[in-house]
Amino acid sequence: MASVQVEAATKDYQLGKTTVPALRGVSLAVESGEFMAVAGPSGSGKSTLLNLIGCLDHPTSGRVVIAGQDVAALDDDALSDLRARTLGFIFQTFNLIPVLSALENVEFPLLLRGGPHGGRERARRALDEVGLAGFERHRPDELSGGQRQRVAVARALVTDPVIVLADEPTANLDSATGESLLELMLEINRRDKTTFIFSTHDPRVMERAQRVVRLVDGKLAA
Amino acid sequence: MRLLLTLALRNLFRHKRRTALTASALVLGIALMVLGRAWTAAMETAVVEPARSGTLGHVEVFAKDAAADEGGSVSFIMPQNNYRLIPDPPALIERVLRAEPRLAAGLARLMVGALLSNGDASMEVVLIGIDPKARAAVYPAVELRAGRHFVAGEKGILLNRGVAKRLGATVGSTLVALGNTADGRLAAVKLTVTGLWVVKGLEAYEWGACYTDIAAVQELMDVGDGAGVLVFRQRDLEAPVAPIAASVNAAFARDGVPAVAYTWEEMGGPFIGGMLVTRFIARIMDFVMAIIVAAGVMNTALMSVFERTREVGTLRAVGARRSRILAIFLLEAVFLGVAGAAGGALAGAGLILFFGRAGIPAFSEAQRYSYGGDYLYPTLHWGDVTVVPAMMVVICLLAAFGPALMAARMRPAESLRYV
Ligand SMILES: Nc1ncnc2c1ncn2[C@@H]1O[C@H](COP(=O)(O)OP(=O)(O)O)[C@@H](O)[C@H]1O
Ligand SMILES: [Mg+2]
Repeated sequence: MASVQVEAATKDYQLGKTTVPALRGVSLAVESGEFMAVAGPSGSGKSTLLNLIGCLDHPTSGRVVIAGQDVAALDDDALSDLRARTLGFIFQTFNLIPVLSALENVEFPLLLRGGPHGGRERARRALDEVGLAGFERHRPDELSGGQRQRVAVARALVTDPVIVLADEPTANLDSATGESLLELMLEINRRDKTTFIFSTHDPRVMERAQRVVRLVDGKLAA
Repeated sequence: MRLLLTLALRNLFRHKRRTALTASALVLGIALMVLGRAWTAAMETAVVEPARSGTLGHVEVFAKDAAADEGGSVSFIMPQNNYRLIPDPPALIERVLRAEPRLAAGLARLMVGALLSNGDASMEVVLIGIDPKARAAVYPAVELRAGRHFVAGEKGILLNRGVAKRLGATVGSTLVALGNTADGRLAAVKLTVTGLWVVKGLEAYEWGACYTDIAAVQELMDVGDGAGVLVFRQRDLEAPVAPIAASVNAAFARDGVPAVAYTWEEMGGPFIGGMLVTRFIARIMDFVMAIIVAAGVMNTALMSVFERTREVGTLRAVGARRSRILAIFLLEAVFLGVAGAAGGALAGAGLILFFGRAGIPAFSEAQRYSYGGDYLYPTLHWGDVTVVPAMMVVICLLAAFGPALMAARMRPAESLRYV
């Protein structure tokens, strides 16, 4: 079953009086368990596409279906809940909450969902899994870039999401660190069958993907 | 919830300088507002309380259309030479007290302008004729510097220091009051000085007023047993007076009694005028202060929303609903407000205690009037140190609401792009 379906999605941004067409009719199906790269040069619309899939933005036209649910039918709270339960995010700039420790950052999405206790333990295990046991109490600014991105990975995975969206996750890391982060993501993908959709413009990163879709000027290239 | 608290607190501590600055503005503003309240309250009690217990009373009853023959509106401090008087005051006092148990006692009073002389010395005075039997119950603030209070039947008079000096009179002197009867004839009455009066707190108001027996004034004016006004004192001094006067008026209307009850607030004249002005100015100052503080808090909240726009995007991406974002920023403002309020309440209480001891000096004659003396001594009341700070917490919340709402309504994709 396709975990993500994008149908003829377009996205126009309004910049003053000019309309910037960031996506011009993108159709895409991502199967459950895929490890997929969205490739393309800067400005080609990768972030825009990932934002649509991540329910962070609405398409100007077209449809986005996540785990069988047409997201246009959901209100803002329902979309938030969908993100909390079904999606995980990894950002190019890590985006950790600076005032929270590594452990608290990872625990955060669990607390947002409420529900059963033991979030702290789960967060600890997630940190352990990304190789950061012992760094629980460190604040983000006490961690290296690679470590921060690993915290972000732990945060994205702690809720057992169906789909993890990663917008250029290695762009701010040196190549060795980027490599090991990719390894980590691959390992999780193989083990838990978590769908990974990540964008990149780095050919070496594309190589590791199971499937690569190329975006050029807001359109999928054949 | 624990999470939101942690986040709010840590974010406040993250910008120590900014937080400290806003908090101290809050502390200062609130402390000044708290002190201001105690200050105006002290001014009110310094002047109004003695006035209520020495001249105004709480409720005053006049004959219907009492001043119809001279301009229309009654005045509590003007001589009542041409007033339509209340016949048989004891009966009406009795009736009012029966109708309104919240009033403790009533006193018949008749006031007239007269020329008072002691041998060759003479001066214009106002004779305040009161029923000596009711004086203690209604005018407890009238105290003596010398001598004793007059009793019924002796036509005694109490002078204030100024009048006594001008007339060269002392306790025991016999004076002659010259005035007009109600129908315009010249008349005179002999009065014996039994004491020198003072109302503590109203020294500055010692105009040529002399308390004397109402019987002497009635004789001078040749008006039988008529009274210009009946003055009533409340049982519970803190209770609001307006409902009491209203119920007295309702009783008058019901029984067809041609009389009107006024509250001391309506009749307060110079005492109340100054107080209202002070109250009004204090309100404006409070308002200005609240606006300044609100602007500071709003500015702080706006800054924290702007610099954390991307963080908002991240929180939304991770699954936080709009309401959470709203709560995060509101909580920050509330923490700030509570800290500022607590500090302000303490600092304000400290200032009140300090000035309560040292006294706030009067710098002008006008201030001496509103302070009822050379120094004003504010007192600490729970209401003053809690109401203002609590209100300011609410104001902080309101001030932060706009920025917080702005953060909550940002579109996640947009906030994530923000640098
Ligand atoms: N919020 C926005 N407002 C205006 N233009 C935007 C906005 N977001 C993206 N764009 C434009 O849309 C195009 C695609 O952007 P983006 O999806 O960020 O590309 P990529 O991630 O591949 O670099 C670019 O031309 C970019 O300038
Ligand atoms: Mg991008």
